[in-house]
Amino acid sequence: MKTEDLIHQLEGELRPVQRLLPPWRRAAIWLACGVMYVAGVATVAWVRRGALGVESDALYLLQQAALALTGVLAALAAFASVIPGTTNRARSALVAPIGLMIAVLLWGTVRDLQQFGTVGIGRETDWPCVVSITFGGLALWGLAGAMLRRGAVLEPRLTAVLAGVAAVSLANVEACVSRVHAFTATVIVWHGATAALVMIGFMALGPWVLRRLREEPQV
Amino acid sequence: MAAPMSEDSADEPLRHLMRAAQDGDADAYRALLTAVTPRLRGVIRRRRAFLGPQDVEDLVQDVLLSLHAVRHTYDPARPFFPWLLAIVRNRLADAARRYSRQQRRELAVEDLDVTFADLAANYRDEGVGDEELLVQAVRQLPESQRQAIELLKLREMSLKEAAAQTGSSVGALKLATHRAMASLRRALGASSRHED
Repeated sequence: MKTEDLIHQLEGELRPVQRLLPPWRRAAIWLACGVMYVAGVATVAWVRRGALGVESDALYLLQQAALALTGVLAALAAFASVIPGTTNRARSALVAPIGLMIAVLLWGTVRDLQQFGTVGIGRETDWPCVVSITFGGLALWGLAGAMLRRGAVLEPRLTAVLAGVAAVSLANVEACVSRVHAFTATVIVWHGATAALVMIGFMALGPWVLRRLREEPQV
Repeated sequence: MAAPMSEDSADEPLRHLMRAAQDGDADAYRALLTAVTPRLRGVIRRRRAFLGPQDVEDLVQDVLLSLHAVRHTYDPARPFFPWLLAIVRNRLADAARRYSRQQRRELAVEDLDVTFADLAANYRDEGVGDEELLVQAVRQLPESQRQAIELLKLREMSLKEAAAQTGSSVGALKLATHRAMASLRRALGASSRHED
């Protein structure tokens, strides 16, 4: 087909389109849903057990702040990644909260060792958090995927991973808020391993899912 | 000669055309695509100097199709060229990946004169076969399908030209062509089976 003919064809098929909202607004909508999810699950946990894992400890608060900031920046980066030509500063900024979180977790482990004489690996299991991080991550990733399908998914793996980081971060906040953890090492091992496995899943299957979800081009 | 793609002066009118195209203005869209096509050719030629003219044209069309498919992602408050160039980069990377996959999977065969165990695999396409049968099959098509085949396949008109001549929509023409091709395949397939 000649390019001129293609232009005629595209012109003939032109329909008005609804412009996408800016990435920050779409990320804000997704984050609002994420916050509602975290609040909903935490409320259910509180009603069922009469207690939450929320602490006033500075390290705990720093850890949650770093997780939440990771979620916010990853969501921004994911929604920006489906707009061609957008400068993705949020993606580079992700290094800061992730670095802070690692530092806080290591600091917490050292403090546990000083206080209890052990880091606590093997002292407690955390299967409920494994389940909630996995399902919460999947649910929030699914919502992000459904929203991202309207964009131009030019780099499906990158977009899938960024959405995964955002989803897993919020799911981790929910797990830390809903349940008490005696040792920081429990969070590192159980939450970390679950997050890593879920992320591997997003990395492997996410691009395929995003391609399947993508709205068909009108050509 | 086309101006460099980063010039603000060149970007401004295209930004307005794209905004109008997003609102459904077909004239603005044609003007936009016509204006960007030579520039796209230039960019692709510069970045893929080793490609022949036909390959360059294929990539240009690939970019135009992508532009059409994701036109809702353009924000008129932002410059047009960076948006378009991101699509070009992506299409070029995709084409390079496709090429590298093909190279890995394809095997150069010196001697093609091979007889396979499955007889169907030895079939050689020798054009339309019996022309008389084809003419008869076309005659037996319903009026709208016959017209679509004649205009689009025999007279090689564009969809737009054919739509203008028949008064049908592009979509209706596409559907009629699709159905006509299916009917012809069935009719010619059935007649070749009878001959066997």
